[in-house]
Amino acid sequence: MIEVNNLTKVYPSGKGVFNVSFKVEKGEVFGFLGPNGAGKTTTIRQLLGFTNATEGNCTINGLDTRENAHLIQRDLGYLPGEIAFFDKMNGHDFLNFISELRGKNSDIRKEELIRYFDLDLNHKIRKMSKGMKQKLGLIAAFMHDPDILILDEPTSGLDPIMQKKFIDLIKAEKERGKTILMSSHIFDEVEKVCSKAAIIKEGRIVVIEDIQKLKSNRQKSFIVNVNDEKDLNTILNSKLNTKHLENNTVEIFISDNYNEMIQVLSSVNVIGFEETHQSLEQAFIHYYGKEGE
Amino acid sequence: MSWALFKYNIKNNYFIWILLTSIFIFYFSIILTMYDPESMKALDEVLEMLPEAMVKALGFADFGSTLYSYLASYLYGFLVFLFPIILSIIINHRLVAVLTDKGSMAYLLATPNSRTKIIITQMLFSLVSISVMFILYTLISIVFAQIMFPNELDIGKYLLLNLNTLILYFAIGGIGFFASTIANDTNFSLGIGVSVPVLFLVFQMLGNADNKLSFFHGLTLFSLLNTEAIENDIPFVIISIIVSLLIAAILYGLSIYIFRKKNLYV
Repeated sequence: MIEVNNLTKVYPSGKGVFNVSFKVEKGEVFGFLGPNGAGKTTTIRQLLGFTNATEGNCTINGLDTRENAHLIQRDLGYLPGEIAFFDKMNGHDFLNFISELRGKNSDIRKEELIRYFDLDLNHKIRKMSKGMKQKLGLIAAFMHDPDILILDEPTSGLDPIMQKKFIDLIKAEKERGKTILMSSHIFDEVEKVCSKAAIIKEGRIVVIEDIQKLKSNRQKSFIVNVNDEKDLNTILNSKLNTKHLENNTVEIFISDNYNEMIQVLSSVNVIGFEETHQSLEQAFIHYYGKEGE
Repeated sequence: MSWALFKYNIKNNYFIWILLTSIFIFYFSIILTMYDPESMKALDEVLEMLPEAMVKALGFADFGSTLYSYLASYLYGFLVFLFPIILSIIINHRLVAVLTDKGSMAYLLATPNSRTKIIITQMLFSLVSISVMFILYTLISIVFAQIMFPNELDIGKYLLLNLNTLILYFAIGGIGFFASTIANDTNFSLGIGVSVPVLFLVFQMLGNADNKLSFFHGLTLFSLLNTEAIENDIPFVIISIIVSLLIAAILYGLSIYIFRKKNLYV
């Protein structure tokens, strides 16, 4: 359905994406993961036909995305990563404008989505908060009920309740057979909805994998506080992968060897225990072995 | 073309359009009321008190003896270009460069409208906005002239003069549109869109100011409008119109071609 074939796009600065290839099958929710600046938006721009590839190409439904952008757009919903609306409009004006540009029947889900995201459209876009703008962008991307959705950082700016609502919407769309590509720099978000993910780093794909497999291989870390130095040494001297942080605090890295950690911790006096939320970069540096590579 | 986008352009630009068109027509009215066949000499005397080079630079060369020659020399030497140029610089800049720079172009391209359709819509708006301004100005100016000085104005010549001027605007406007299209940011678009027409205006003024400097006329597109030629050299007028049309066609045509091909980092 969506195919990226050996795509290389080099900017004058030398940055860009290099030899990127992946496929999103019909009905699949595909996560495109990478830290900021890794090349996610560069790849997505090419999928929308905004730029000319240095080499390679992208197709959607077999059509070249650069040559046939306007044909592909009939059945595609797009959420840009950087929200740049038409400032002077209010929310209503904007959605009407977009649906008029799209042509007949292109706002069939508008009212339903406005209610779903609970958005007041009577504000000038210039005065909207980042979260409101993000909701408006999502409504514009979904309102014509397209079969394919390309969403660049869809949850940025949304509060946790709206993030949950967004995740639920994606799940529902998946049930309805929609094909979705969403980029993110947050692993947790992708892991909740996507069945497959590609991870990109410095312009190159490092892995394309089923989400379950990525999850099980993903290293987790916990910050543990203990009472005294004796307990601290017990942990540091165990077989666990650890890092001494400060005083009686230690970070423990595990993948699926929870039992091992619990056994060690049960022999000491734990006074603090919390899971760290790893950035994506840490997550897949660990996934791919040691830092520095 | 996309009517939805055309309407958006109207909403986005009507204020500046009405403002500049009104000032333009108002300015004409004032010049018109100053016309008095009996006292043209008095006006000449007033102008003689000013430095000669400055008077010439503004195109106030020879007021002649008819309403046509009065308007031609007072308005069409220099001032007639001012308001339409400001309008076309602002509008052309907004039509493409602002949308690209701010990223809102992404929303236009993410609809089933081809780049060709989008850029042709913007081109049509660029041409229509300046044409409507000028046609309205022409009609109102004729009505005013007829009311104040019945049958004094040679309407045939006056219409030809304005046709020639309008077509020349298309060429000048083409520069701004071209700059707006090739620009990836607004600074570049405004930089070229403002500096080239202003440079042409300066050359025009220098060329007018002194016979020794008349070679400057060869460096400015504005010399394609020759008000005397309309009275006595029709072939020049025809060539001028054809050349202006060609320049406009090349600039707008290139803009369409480049917009279809370029990278849009939106």
